[in-house]
Amino acid sequence: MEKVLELKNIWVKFNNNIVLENVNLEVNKADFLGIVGPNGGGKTTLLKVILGFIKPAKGEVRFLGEKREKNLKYFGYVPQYNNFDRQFPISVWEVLVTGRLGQLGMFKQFTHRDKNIVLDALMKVGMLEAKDKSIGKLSGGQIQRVLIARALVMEPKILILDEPTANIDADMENKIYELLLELNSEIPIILVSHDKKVISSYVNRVVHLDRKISDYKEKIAMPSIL
Amino acid sequence: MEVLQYEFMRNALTAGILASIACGIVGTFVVVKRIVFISGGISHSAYGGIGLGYYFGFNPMLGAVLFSLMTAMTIGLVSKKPGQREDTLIGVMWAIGMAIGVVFIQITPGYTADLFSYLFGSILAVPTTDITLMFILDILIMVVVFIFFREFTAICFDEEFAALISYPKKLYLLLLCLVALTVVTLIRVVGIILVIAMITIPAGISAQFTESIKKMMFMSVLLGTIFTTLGLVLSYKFDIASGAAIILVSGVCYIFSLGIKYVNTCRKNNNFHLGKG
Repeated sequence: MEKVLELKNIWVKFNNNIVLENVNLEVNKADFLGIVGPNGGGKTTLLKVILGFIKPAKGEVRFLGEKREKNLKYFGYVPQYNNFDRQFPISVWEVLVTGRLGQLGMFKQFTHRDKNIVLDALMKVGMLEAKDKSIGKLSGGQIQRVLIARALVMEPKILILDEPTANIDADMENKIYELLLELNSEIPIILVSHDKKVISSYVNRVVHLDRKISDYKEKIAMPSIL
Repeated sequence: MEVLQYEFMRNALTAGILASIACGIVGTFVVVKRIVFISGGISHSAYGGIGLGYYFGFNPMLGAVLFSLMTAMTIGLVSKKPGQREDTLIGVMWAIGMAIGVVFIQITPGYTADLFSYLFGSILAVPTTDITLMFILDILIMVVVFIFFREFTAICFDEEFAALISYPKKLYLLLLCLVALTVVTLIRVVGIILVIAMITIPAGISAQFTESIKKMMFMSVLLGTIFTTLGLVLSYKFDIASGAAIILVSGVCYIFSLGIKYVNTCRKNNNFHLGKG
């Protein structure tokens, strides 16, 4: 099994409060990993450590056997959609263009190939018709799909999602998970959620995070209950 | 139109247009990124540079360039450090810059005649050297924004995500430096105290009527030009400070635009309820 992401002995402290304590985690190529745990248990913090937004007090993150810094542009990150300024004057297309910037480089032109990648991503998430709409006119579920598309145009080698289905209706939720399952045939996915039930019916591995990481036992027990 | 025969009048019109270009382009980023308070801090701190210019006998505008750039860099570099409060830092820089200006102007011997013009603008008395400086700054701002437009859009929309794909810290600093240069182009037109209004009002009005950054920029430049020209006329006719005249015109239009927006929204909602939307 090919190891993609590796976290070794990660410690994070905020003002002497320990938020993450000696977290070790490996993500393999075929993984669809769910991270569950209580609010304030450090789920989002862990994602931010993985993405390099937060520097751990101790520990190391390695990606494809290398230091992560060189490969940040391959981290397809899908943040919580409700953190966005809905009034921001930007269209769906323009949001996706920002996702291509890492691959474009600073002065390069937006080529035909880039255009096709953006179109392809929009098609995958079913938002092609809305490409010229401004994000202020979209529903929560639609913004979520645009953010997934933005991660896809990065041609990511891993997909990282923070609560992708919070405040989204059940129908859309299923669609998003179906899409993720499809994407998982090519790249590993890490998904953070407080919703244990939904998560465990789609992902192939779950860990529980409450300052420390532990295996999620309930998952094994669940089929017998159902 | 015969007033245009006078050089000071032509200079005033040119200054208004040059200032509008800078504040339309950069003001758009300031408004959508919600860093209006930062632009206020940068502009007020420029007063320190003006005081320095007076005391040591160089062009106060160059002092303003120096101080506003320094403040922009300090706010950009220090505020993102963990444990720092950005707005506190801005307030401190804002006040220190003003205080330095006050001290240096006080210890400068002789009467500092056009001090008032730096504080409240004096569009009718812009010297040709300052027009040249404004022109150079405008070109610089336009070139930088043209090159980094997509990057600036990305960091304004989602700074965290931008960290994965580009160099957001350096680009953010660059953006703040553009704000600093914009402040300098505006000092002669509306004065330090009112710069913040000129950066935000045209972009603030445009933001209500367009959903694209580029359109917002064009509209803001246009509005800025209208406001400065109208303000100039009022300033000339009634002999009042140009800064105050321009801001009053802009402010009234802003309030008016809120009204239009409100009526539009109500109408849309009504149509929606009646099944027409």
